[in-house]
Amino acid sequence: MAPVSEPEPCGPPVDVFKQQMLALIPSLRAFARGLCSNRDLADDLSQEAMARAWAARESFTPGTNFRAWMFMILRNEFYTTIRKTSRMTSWDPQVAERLLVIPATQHVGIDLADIERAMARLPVEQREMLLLVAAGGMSYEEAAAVTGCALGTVKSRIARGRAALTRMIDGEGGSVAATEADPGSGGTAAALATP
Amino acid sequence: MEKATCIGFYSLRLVASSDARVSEAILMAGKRKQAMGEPGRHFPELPFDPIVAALRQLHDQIAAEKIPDDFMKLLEKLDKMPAKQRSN
Repeated sequence: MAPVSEPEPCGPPVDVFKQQMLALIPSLRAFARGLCSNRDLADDLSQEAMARAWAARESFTPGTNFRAWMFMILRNEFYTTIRKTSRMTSWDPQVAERLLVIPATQHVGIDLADIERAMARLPVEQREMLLLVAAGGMSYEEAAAVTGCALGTVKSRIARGRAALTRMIDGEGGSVAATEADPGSGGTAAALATP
Repeated sequence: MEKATCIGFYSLRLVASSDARVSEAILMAGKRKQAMGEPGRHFPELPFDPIVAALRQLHDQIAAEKIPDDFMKLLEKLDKMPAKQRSN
């Protein structure tokens, strides 16, 4: 009786897969932290995404976009967690403390603390697009693959997110803290709109 | 307090204040700096603006952090975790 051969694994070699994951850890952590504003939770999400990706590695097709695939898993993990808990509104205590000690008026350019505060107030669908494309350097196409959105949706969310950030930063002499929902003046929003 | 914002055609520089939290972002047109070790990172079609520069700076700060040991332990444990069968 002829031996029955094992079905060939469909994913990449495990060493390659692991190396690819290792290389992505910094950007996965950054994306997760931007999404949930909580260092510990972000790392938990990243690790959970890695474990899920590993378990599903045979469903990954070598030669396709590994980064987009990993980010998609992480994003799904984030939304799953959002549905389960309200922890997303909690801030990393270290971040919160750091933000509080920076006077809002103490800047001429862009204050990173203001950006963090403003990002935390953006609708998550705009925030994630800015994190993927503006911060993370993904192409619009990759961001569309990660989020499952149409290209036009990606672009419009980025444009709206950037405009909202600009309004928050420009408003009240640059203090994001004082610009809760009112978008304020247009400022440089028009110049920032995606062409 | 040291502050300067310079937006030119080829470069954008942000130096916001003496606080360590607020740091410098330099973007070069044409060849924009890519984060070390991050595959495929590039910055398409976005016009230069300080908000984008600040977002990248935030991203780069986190990406530059030392990876917690938990991640390495996880990678070590992965070998013992089986892959799920494809469902088709």
